[in-house]
Amino acid sequence: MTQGVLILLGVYALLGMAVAFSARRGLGEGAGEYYLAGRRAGGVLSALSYGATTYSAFMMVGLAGLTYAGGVGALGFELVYLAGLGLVAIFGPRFWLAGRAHGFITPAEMLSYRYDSPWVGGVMAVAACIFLIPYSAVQLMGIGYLLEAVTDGAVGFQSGILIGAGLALIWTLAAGLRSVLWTDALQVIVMLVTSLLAVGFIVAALGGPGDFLDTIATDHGEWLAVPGPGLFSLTTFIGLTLPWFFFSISNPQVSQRLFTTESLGAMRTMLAGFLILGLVYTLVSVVWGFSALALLPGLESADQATPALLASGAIPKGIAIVLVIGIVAAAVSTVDSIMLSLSALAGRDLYRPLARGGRHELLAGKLVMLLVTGLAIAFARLQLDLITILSVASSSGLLVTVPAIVGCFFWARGTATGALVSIIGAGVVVTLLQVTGSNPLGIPASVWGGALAVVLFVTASLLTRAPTARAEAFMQPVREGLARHRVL
Amino acid sequence: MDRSTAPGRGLLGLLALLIVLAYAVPYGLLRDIPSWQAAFLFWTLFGVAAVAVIIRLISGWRP
Repeated sequence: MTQGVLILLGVYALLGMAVAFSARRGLGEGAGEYYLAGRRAGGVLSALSYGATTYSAFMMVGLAGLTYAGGVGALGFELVYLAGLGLVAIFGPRFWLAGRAHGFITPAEMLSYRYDSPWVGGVMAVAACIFLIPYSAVQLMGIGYLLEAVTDGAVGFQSGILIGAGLALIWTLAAGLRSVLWTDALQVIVMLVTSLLAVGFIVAALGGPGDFLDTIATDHGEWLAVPGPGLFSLTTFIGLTLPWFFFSISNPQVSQRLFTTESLGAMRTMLAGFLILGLVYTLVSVVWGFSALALLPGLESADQATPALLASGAIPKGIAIVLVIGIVAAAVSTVDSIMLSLSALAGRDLYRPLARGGRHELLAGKLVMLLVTGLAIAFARLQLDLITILSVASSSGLLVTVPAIVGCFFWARGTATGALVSIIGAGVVVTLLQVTGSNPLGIPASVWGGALAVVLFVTASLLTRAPTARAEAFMQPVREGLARHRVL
Repeated sequence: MDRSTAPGRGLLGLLALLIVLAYAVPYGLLRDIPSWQAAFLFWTLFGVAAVAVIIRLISGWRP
């Protein structure tokens, strides 16, 4: 198995390099070219890349583990997230129109302009770094653990981290979003095909679909019930789904994609394509988790479900090997998009307002990308509990930016003070609650954070003077565009 | 109401209703039923319906 993994890993890396460097052809000058692929991304490519960016190693490892531990609630959780993509139907065209009219590169820059204060974008950029660097580190740790386990230590944990980080960094630096789009497209195909193959073989090993359904219903019926064996109480379900429902507008690595498509038609293709891909991948990951439960009940840790299933011999070695590569691809394709997005945020929203004239913005962004990679590697190697907690807290942490993003388009009375107070105040509170593991009054931290962010945004905005002229200048081209394109 | 966006508002309302049902039905009507035909089937149909509504919602855009 070790030799097979190493050979396929080499093939995957070489193919990715070829794709990333061929994407350099036609790369123009400037931040818009580098970070947004010149706003000329096609619909199909964008759909594939959006899928690769959104779906990390979490799906075939984490979601499968959640299914193993908590049953069918994992399916409901992931599908509520998918329904949250309805937000892209509302905000996607608004981001796109505002981006074209005002030349925004990052969502944070858009907020800075709308609220007439560079502090808003700066704070959003810092929040993104605080939560997304640990999130990337955990992805790299996932690669490290997986490769170490399936190669019997021939590729150690530390080497696995360096391989993942190295590939993500090179594929991002090669041509910015252009190379990320093309390598993502390659990787999402690898992710989907390998997971479909693996699930097909595992269900066959269980005697076919009929026997698989019967085995679960007979031996693990509780896992098909809600709330099930205990993990998915209604409170936990709400606490998990709330931040993920808003993921498509709160997380910059995906919301930035709303600036990149060549037309609204391409955005429509991106969204529809991603929804179908997401539905399939979700079902596959959940069935994989149920299969682990049927074949290997009683594992000490649910996170071990996928590695244990791969090592169990229930699926042919060749299929296990390709699935390992698929999971590595899922992690790398998420990390590279986060690196690119954080680089843009740091260059555009932290460096540019400070540097006179914003010269060397792209260079600053690339240096930040190296720094982010270094930090992610360091965090992953340290394996600190705090990093894992911050990673888990990332979706709740970024949820606090949602009121300011919604207010940007739908509440002219919203102010910079409101945005700043809500992001900082609710961000600090939700992080403290997550770090200390407290749920006051039995209500999950994410719900507290989201509610507090809304209250702070509204209250502080009403107490301060609204930048009405700026809000109007921001919205006018958006309103005209929405009417022209018949968007709700 | 603008005639061109009225169907969109209806679809958005439908999506909102589906999302409420995604919490209410499995944790209410289908609670504690250990069968594939309960929460699993409901959430799968919910996922398909939500995807269909969103695609219908964006099909009205005029690029």
